[in-house]
Amino acid sequence: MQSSNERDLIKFVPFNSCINPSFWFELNRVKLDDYKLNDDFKDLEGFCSTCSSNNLPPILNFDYSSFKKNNDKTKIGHENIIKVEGQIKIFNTINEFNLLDKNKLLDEFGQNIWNDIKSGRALDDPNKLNRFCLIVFANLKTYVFHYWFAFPALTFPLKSYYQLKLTKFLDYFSTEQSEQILENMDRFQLNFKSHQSFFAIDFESLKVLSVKDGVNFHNCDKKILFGLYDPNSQSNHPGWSLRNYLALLALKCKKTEQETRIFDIVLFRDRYHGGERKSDLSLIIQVEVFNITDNEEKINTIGWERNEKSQLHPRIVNMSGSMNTEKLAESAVSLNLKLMKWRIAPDINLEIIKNQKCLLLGSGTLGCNVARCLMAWGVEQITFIDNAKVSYSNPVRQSLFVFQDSIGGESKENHKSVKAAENLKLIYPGVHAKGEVLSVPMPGHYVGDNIRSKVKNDVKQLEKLIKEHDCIFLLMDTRESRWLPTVIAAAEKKLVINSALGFDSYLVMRHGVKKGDPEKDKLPTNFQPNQKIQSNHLGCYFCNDIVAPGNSTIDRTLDQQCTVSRPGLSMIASALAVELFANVMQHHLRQYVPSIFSNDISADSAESCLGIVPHQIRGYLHSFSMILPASQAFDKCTACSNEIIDMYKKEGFDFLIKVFNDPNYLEDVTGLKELKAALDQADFDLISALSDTDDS
Amino acid sequence: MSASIPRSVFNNNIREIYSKSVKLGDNWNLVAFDQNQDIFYLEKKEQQLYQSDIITIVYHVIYSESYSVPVLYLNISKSNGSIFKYDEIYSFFNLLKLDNDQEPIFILTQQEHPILFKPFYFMHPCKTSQWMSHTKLGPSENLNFTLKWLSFVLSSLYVPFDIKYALI
Repeated sequence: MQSSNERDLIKFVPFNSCINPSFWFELNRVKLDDYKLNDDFKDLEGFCSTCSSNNLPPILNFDYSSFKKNNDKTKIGHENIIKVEGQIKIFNTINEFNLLDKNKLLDEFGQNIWNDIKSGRALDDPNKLNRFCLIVFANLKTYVFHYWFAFPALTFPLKSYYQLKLTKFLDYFSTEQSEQILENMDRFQLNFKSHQSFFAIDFESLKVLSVKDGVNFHNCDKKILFGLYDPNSQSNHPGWSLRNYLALLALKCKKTEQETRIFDIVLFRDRYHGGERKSDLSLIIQVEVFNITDNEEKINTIGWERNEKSQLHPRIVNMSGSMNTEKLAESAVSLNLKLMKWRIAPDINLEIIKNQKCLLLGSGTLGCNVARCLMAWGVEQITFIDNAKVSYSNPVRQSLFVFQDSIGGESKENHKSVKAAENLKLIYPGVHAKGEVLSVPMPGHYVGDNIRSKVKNDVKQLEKLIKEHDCIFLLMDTRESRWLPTVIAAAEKKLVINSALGFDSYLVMRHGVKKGDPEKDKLPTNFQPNQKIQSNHLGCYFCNDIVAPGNSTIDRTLDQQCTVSRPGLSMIASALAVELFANVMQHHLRQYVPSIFSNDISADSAESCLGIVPHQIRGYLHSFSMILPASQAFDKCTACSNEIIDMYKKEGFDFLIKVFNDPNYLEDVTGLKELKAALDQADFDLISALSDTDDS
Repeated sequence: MSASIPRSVFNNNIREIYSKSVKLGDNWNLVAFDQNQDIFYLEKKEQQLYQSDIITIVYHVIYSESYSVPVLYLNISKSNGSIFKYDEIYSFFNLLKLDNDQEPIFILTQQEHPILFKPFYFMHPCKTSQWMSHTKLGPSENLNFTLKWLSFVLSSLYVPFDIKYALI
């Protein structure tokens, strides 16, 4: 590195503020608990390192301990920290923060420094030359902080500092001399409780002195080098601390006849490199300093920190990601799911599940458990429908209710759907859960004239809810209540997951989803067992009434009204309903995925990254077994056949009310009536045919 | 020989690392969180320029009771105090993102710091005992288990660690 011999204006490298996250945590606490509405200036401490490394500009660090003045004895080995005293003002409103006269404030700070210099306080304790000011507005609800640092430095108009010469410390002094100085430096620091940033060196004896002693000796014509621990190690320019130091020297050192004086300033940059202590970055600059007196008329103070865009504006930081507990819960929950993806199933698409809007018809045992399971999968939108209130028997089996919920009262809202949504949010605040109180009209449940318009509205509302959601879960406790949503969802081509419980057996199934193209949706007549069934040909809950499942295992049917079931059953069925939903979502065809037939899972086992996507799951607790039947839709189905869907689309509520008032009407429309008549006839023929066989 | 250590050995290990750090001028510090319960950990704070901002990296070497091994916790914050998010951490350490079939070398995940109860990133210790037992552990009197572990862990993150730690 060359010594430059030109007369250059000195460039002082400003401080950079560096805030540790714990600072904001502590500021939050201090404002809420200690300061409250008090917005006076309070003491604050910043930290600077004695060692320069990594070629960094001057940094002043702030963390939780900036607010306390006591020594943190738990940290061993933090002796190489310089403490810088300053002040903080936490405003109560953003207006006050913005309207504060920043120039005036800075001038006040500057005036304080100038007074300390004039009075000699700065000579007694030169660390006072380094100080800072911090103004903050903290929005304690959103965890957004507006802040602005100032590092006040005195400037004198029309007077500047010039650098005449720059030499490396190790070139200026010999090796023995530098080692001696280092030793003396360390010994000097031992005399003080806190680290001294400013010092002086006696050129003859190489002793390290306090600034005050240095000034006295200098004024007695001894050769003295003034020095400081330079916070800048990024470039050959001195750090910000030098400005106020030069002002002190300019005033307190004796003047000569000339207008300017020359000082040799040591920019001490201590560092460890390769395991050794080195002074290779330290510099000595020759500075030309002007004359000033106690009665300087105009003193300017500069030092507001520029923001990230180098503008003279405050900085804004949003700490809600680290401080807002709900955000922390959100990221923890999503992390859990991501770990599944990272560790086990890299192909899984979590986003698609998260974005499904799920409508749960029925907020009982199945509804509560399905909701919890969906939430664990990351589903964000869950809507509950139910018309009942929480009753005393509910909480033990229905996992979203507690005893208090079943105690009704006039002013107390305890409708199941609403309570379920509320309680779901208690578990995870980030879920968007809603509860609708709605009675689903059913076939065979007569609609009198007095309630006709109410029922019409209920239908309308149900239609709207089904349209707004992506996946419909049918989790009610009666068979006929599932009819209307099945029809509407089939017309809207939504995915329906249906679950029903017997005493110790359960059904979980997905309804077939039509494509809307009459050609494609037409059912094939050559139905073969052991064959894939296209999704738009798969049956619904009501198709199975007449058509037997392809699998020949004999078991009881479930389609009986049954509200008594083994307690564990609903948890099994709900879990399977959600996992079936997950498997559907992971398949690239989504709800249009065809079904394999019966238990033949050897082929096509890897249909989606989560596994096969059956049509139905029927389970039996008494044998702890499960079968996976698949059945084609029935062309005369009372719910999903084309005749019914077309009638519904054409006539709407007029069609529906006929069904509500007389379910036999459905059999007429679908042609089921004629089929049954034909079957009765066939029975007759069959029996007569059988009587000829020999069955001994 | 199982590759795990009791807390007392860990505490001795980190004291030794600290004293070496002082000699080498490396910036590790010993933190006594709870002297009664014997809870100590090592801390190192580093600042560097990154994407035109000054970032602070904090490393903590903490003892894991359940796995009986040391665990590395770390955090990176910007000059305004905000903490690096997942993608920023991954990008900083040049870790592979876990899509496609690529096996990651290791994972940094976010968790509540066991002592400070603040969000930190850490390297899960479940496999530590396993991979440490594959290294030559040497005669137990000379071995600083934590120092050896630390050298592996830091080098996997491409964080420089002075070789002189092994020589002094």
